[in-house]
Amino acid sequence: MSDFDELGGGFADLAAVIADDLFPRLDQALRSGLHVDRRAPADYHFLVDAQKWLEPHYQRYGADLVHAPDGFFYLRPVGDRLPVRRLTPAEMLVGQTLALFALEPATLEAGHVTRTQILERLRDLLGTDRVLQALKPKTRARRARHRAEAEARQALLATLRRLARLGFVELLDDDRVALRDALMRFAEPARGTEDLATALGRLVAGGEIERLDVEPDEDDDEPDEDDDAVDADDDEEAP
Amino acid sequence: MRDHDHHRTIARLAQRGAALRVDTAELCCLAAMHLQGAVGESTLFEEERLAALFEATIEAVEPAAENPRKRATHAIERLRAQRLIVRLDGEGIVRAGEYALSPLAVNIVERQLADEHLTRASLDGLMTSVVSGLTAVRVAAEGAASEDDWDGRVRVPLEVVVAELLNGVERRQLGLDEQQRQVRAEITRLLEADWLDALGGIEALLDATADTLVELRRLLLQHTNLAHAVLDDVRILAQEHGRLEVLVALRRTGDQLDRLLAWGHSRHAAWSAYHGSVHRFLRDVVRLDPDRQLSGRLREQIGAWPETPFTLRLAQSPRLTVLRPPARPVERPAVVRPAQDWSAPVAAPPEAPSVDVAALVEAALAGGAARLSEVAAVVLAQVPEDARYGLIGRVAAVLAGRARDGHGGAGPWVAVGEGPYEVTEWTLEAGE
Repeated sequence: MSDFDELGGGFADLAAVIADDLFPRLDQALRSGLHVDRRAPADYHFLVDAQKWLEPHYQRYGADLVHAPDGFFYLRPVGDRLPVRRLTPAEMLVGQTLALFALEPATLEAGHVTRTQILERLRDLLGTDRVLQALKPKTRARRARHRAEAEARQALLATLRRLARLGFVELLDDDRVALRDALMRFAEPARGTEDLATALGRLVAGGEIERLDVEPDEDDDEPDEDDDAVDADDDEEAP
Repeated sequence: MRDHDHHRTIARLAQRGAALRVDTAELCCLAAMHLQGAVGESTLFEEERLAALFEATIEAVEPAAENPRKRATHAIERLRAQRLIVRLDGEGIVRAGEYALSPLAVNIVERQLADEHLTRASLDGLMTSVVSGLTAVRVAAEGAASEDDWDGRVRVPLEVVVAELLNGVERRQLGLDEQQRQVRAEITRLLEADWLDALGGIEALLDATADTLVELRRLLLQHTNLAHAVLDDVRILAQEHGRLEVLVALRRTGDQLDRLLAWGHSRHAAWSAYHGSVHRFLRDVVRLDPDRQLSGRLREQIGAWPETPFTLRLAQSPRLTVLRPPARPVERPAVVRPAQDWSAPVAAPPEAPSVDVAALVEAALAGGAARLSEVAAVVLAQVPEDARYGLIGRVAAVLAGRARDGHGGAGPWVAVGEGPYEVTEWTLEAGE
């Protein structure tokens, strides 16, 4: 039961926020990187009401409670008190592609996209080999095409599961994926009129993103004895 | 109808190979027959007139058809075989060549031609008729004096008239669902075509649909409340008179009303969610990105992967270190054998003495032994003790062919002489 103050329509103090039944679960979820949007109305409105008290609370832990203009909350670590999670290249690529879907009227009509559509769009944008390289970096180009296709699908599903745990998407039954508002974080560098490098610099300074150093896959053309090995890290956490 | 009755009915249909196959041209021919009646023409067709009508219709809908006359003849045959066109026989005299649509065909054609969208007027009219029908049923129930009254004036109107009216509402609900799908598709088309310029049209479409749904929901709520009140009155009367079949019909009607109401609620909720999504899309995407530059830049960014790699920073909860309860290590004795001097020579086993077992067996038999244990005892007594165990098998091998009940039989175990050996006993056949 929320303890609202009569004037502000929110909580009377931080103690009332912490005493609320929703707080323990939400606190844990935010610290695990979850994004909370309007599709979880109880959680979202709790955060709207408690925002005034929770912002200074989390700042003491070296994190900002961000209420994005697109209508979702998340915790952004700015110091070193909270561990930082960095998304993998595959998660970033799939996230950006989903953000592209979210900007299209056809997605608005259907209310979801399918995994097949996501894979097809990735292929359109990058080509089959680069998609495979992104989703399954250890896969070699000379692998049989049907097997590579199956592995790409499997890797895409594993990536979507991780994005779902962070509140970027919701996996529906069968092949469908519902898009959540937080996907717009992936589109941040493309907003505005500035060039990409400037936009990235601004976002890095704000603690939203980090640049990554790419290590070229040196043995791409060399025979690999582990060609037939299937990665067992489909569900691994990001480094 | 009980469940197993359903299964039997379906099994009978499957066994009969029941099927209905009508292609577009044939459906158009049926519609042409039906529409003749609408313009005042006779709906009874002589064979020649029917063939001409079919041929003209097929020519219109399938201009590429090679032989419309032949196609028309085949269509008539197929539709007759499926009883969609029936030949009329009068008073036992076959009036050859006069055809009409069967009731099934009329239903199919009317369903195809009907504009069955649920509007405020159609819902209001239908639901008012439902309530009127139920009120008439209540009056009949109040005055019912006999079983025939309950059956003919209460149960039948409930099961036929009221149920049919409610079916009409349900059919129109499907029409409204389709209408909503079309509105969604139209909104997508407008956005794809005009983007920012489509805003006005989209908002008008959304508001009109939302208004319709709100109004329909209000009407449904109002009429179903009234209908349930009348049903309750009839239910009390039926219970007082113990009319079980009427109570069943009342329950079905009540369920149908609840289904209507639930449909209204679910459509309203679904449209509300869609309405909110579209408004957010218009506000956050269309208005803020009137030239659709964001999509273009994002597309370029993905296409350039991995030129400028970056990653989002998220919070991550630290992993808690959970100490395991202390466990005392289990001492497992090593599997070893005592040390031996492997270089010492191994003593060779004593060689088996050379014994003519067959001769010893024959001698034992000649001496009167008639069982395996007796022969073995005689033979073993003549060899050293360390050779006896191996010798028993050789004795048995010599005697195998002489066992009376076959040498594989399981006889009783008996001691060989003073022991310590035992054999399964064989009784031997008399010597030759």
